[in-house]
Amino acid sequence: MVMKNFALILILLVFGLPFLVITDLFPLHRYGMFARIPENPAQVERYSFETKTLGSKWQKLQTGNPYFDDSYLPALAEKVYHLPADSEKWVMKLRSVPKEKPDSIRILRISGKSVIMKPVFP
Amino acid sequence: MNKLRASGIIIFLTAAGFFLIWLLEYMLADFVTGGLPKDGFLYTLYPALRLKMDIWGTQSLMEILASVKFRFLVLAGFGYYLFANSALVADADFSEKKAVWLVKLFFILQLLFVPDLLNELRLRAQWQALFQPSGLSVLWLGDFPSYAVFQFLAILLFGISAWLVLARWDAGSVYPFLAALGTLLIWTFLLSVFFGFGKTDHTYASMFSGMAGMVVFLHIWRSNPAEIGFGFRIFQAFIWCCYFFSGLEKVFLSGFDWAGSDHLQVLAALHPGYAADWISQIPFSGILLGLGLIFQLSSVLQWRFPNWGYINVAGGVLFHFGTFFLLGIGGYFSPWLAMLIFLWPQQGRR
Repeated sequence: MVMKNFALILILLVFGLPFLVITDLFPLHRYGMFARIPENPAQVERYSFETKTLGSKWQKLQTGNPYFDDSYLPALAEKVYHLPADSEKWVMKLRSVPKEKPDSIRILRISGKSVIMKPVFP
Repeated sequence: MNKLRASGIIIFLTAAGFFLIWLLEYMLADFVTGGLPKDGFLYTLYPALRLKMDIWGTQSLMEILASVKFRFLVLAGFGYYLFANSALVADADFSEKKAVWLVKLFFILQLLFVPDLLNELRLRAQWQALFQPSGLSVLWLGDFPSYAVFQFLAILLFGISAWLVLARWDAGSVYPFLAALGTLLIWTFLLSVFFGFGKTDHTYASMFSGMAGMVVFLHIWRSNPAEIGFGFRIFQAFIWCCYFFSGLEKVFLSGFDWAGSDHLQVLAALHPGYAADWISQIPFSGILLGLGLIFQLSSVLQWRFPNWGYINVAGGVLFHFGTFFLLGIGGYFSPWLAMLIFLWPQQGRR
């Protein structure tokens, strides 16, 4: 009986805690990807990193890695765009990864409201 | 009379909890509108909060706080449902011999998906500079671990799973339980790295949850073989709860607008799968999202009505293939599809 009750309380904790506090508390998962209705696609803000090396043009940063290309980089670009206090740290990290280290990195808001460019990180 | 008294206590505690959270919400509202500090525990718990505050303002935090008390009510109701029906869940016809094969089947799936997980970690290792542990994994993770550590743990996982599949072990043995616990701990470590790039990815969620359920099942079986049927139902609950809580989250964040006619077109445009254009143009195709939500919310009925598992398995297969063709999420080699096998009713019965 004690074991049964313990098992049921465990289920409540494992699934209930992240549900209650509305966040992922890995290893406790909060479920429901895409649970919030997105805005109209035309109004959704989308961001992109662009990089430049000496003597070349600005070009969109692509990692050649399916995990980081599709949604990770735009999400990171959004974070860097909106949180200036963190931006230097993330740009430094980002710069360290590609084989060819970019001289400059900038963030573009490519859709949603007006297209705005964030200042260049030298 | 005892049952009546217990129900009274539960209702009282639920109401007390609801009003306590409501009170906290008022106190926090003053704090939030007065300006949040730049750092602190709140941001550790909600890493995305600062970003949301910058984009949407304090309103987003107030919306989150407002729903917590109602989430508490739903959780209390779910707990009551679990406990009130637990006596009906016991299954005296459950066979230990067949349970051995169910455990082996679970670890065969591990053998299939461990190489997949290792490959995912290899992809992440190339971008380890951007690694930042999330959730409670900040407690045991610092910098990105060496790839050799992943390889070693994957081989260990493979070995443990292969042993559980191939070896002859007694029903009452402690070894399967210890092996399952070891497997859960190793997966916890590997997945904490997998999640350390700030991106929600639930590829292995039901398999990981099922792993915790497997540990509980094997422990109940070992300590009280008469309750083996109940233990297996707990293992199943760890799988269908993934669907149920996913449905609840949709109801709380989007309400029943989730099944609105425009929503499917918007989703298909933002996350296009192979058949997104075609499906989203079909009149009343928004009803597919409604059916998906009904399937997720009704998965909870498997606790009270075991044969609901037939609907959960059929609904789950349609749901996962639907999300693949419509939104490009998942695929045929999906741990979610594999875990549905265990929701099939009548398993393990003599």
